[in-house]
Amino acid sequence: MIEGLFDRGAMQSVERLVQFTGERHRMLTDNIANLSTPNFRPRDVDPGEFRSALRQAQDQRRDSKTPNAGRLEMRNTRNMTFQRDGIDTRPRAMNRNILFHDRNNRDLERTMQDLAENTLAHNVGIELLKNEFDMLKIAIRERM
Amino acid sequence: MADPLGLISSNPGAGGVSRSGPSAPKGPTASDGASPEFKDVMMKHIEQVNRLQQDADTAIEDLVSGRRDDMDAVLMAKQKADVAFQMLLQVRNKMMDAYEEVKQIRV
Repeated sequence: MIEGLFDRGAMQSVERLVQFTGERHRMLTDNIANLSTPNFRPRDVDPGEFRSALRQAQDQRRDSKTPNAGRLEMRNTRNMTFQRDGIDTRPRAMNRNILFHDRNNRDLERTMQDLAENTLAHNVGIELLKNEFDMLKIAIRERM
Repeated sequence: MADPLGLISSNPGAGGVSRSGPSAPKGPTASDGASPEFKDVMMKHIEQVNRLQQDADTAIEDLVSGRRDDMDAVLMAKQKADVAFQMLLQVRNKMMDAYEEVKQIRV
């Protein structure tokens, strides 16, 4: 009964998104912190990889007997391991810019864009998750 | 007492309260009246709220996994589903209040 409260609807997907964006935020801030470190290569995890893994899990659940309930079985990808309550990532070096003289291939504009997008996704996820929990609480309390 | 809600929309001639004995007919036959039964209206609205919520959940899942990117529409759908659910909950609360009040009436 209690399990069924939380693996219903979109809650698990949103939870995974928040876990992923939280994880990615750490990497992006690490990149920013090392913006002028010699020999540093910015590292990142691919959000597309996460999305396709999530899509696969959702499709699997939608094809099952209970299309909008039950656990979301996330399959591990090359750079991500999905734990029960978190995501382990193996960030890869992103070689998408020319090397500077200190052998650091920083790309400030791209990093800032990634950070802004990630923050937006994280905030939306948190908002949606809060909403889901509020609705559950309202249903339990039977009051607004 | 298989259908307590049916008492409300029983045929007007009989009067719901007078036939409260154990041998009373099991439920009203709404086939003669054109108006829908209260229970059916209620069930229809519950179905509607349920569908709104399921659609909103699907929309959120699609947004999170990148199948769609219209965040505003998804948030709107979610809010609508939430308000619909709260409305239904409040109707249910009012109905329970009315039931409690009827229960207090002495016969």
